[in-house]
Amino acid sequence: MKLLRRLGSFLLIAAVLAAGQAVGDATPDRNHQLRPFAVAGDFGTDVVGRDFAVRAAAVRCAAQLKIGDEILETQGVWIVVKLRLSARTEPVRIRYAAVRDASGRIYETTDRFEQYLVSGGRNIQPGLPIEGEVAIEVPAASAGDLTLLVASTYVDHRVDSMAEIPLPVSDVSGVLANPAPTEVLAPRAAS
Amino acid sequence: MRGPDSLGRGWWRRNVWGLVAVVPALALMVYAGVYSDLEYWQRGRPVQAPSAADGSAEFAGLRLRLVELAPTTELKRSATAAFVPPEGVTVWRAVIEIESPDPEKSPGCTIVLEDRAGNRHDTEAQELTKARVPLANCRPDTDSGGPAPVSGRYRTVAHFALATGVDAVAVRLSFGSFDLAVRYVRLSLPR
Repeated sequence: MKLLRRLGSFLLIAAVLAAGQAVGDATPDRNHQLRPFAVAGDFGTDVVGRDFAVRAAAVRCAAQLKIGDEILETQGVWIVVKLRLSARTEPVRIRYAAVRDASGRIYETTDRFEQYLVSGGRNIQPGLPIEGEVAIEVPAASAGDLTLLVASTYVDHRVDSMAEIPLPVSDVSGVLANPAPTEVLAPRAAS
Repeated sequence: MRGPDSLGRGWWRRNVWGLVAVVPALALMVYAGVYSDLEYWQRGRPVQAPSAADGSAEFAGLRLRLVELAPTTELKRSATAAFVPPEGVTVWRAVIEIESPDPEKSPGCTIVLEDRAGNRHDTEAQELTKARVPLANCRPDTDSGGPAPVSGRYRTVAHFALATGVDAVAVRLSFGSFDLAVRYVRLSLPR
């Protein structure tokens, strides 16, 4: 009887320890707990984050970009998105834009030319929205299912809002078959 | 688990208070886990310092008074050319009178304008980059031709870009280098 009681105690302790381990394993890690707040919205509508609003007004793809006198080629395809950005209650700079493909891979705006619209270069005042285009290079196979990501944070996106907007991209094969350089609209006051 | 004790109480009755105590202990554990983040967030929230009934304030060792807050069309683009703001933008000017025991050692400040809706605008508006504007930092601006302080009294002038039709109601001054706590003083024109 005494042996059975000791065995029971041992099993109880082991069960508690196993349960604690299971709870620990199931709990999200620190990075997951502090992940950005995703603010999902539709293409063509204002998606409102903590300190900014963004509207993806148009999207197109291109095989080549014309930046000044330079033609930028790509092994994949250029995704060019027209954005309308506005501040909510205080001045804001948009410092991050990227797309995420169906398998979760992230492609940030290219650094092959300056993109002041989303690199913190424009200080947006409340009531004075701006617009312009950003260009992102992605593999052609990924272009069919892309989600635009926009944030006012630069590298550390923890516990801040990030806009997520699905992009309707459909003309990839046609563009790659007939490459023609396209210009990227520079930032300007929104109309 | 032993059987009933000498008073005839089973395991559950013998441990009832311990089981009840588990609930507040768990709550305390969760609170302790988030306390540091909560406290850090609360410390970062700006706090408004008091101002007098006449709109002036003693802050950061200075006496501060808002003497003008109005739209202006007097900005210059160059020595001879007038500055014309972009369409839909109105330039507002705030003039703050400062009394300092030692103007040379006055701390620098950041000036933010508050509109009627409570939105805040800073002095780094993109819409004003082509205008010649004085430094707006609460220090005597003798470098760009401003008058020297008289009896420790001088003025600092700040310009802001607002959407046409939006009214400004106050300015907020904060002295980051002087005041480690995040505090600001709000100045409005006396009614």
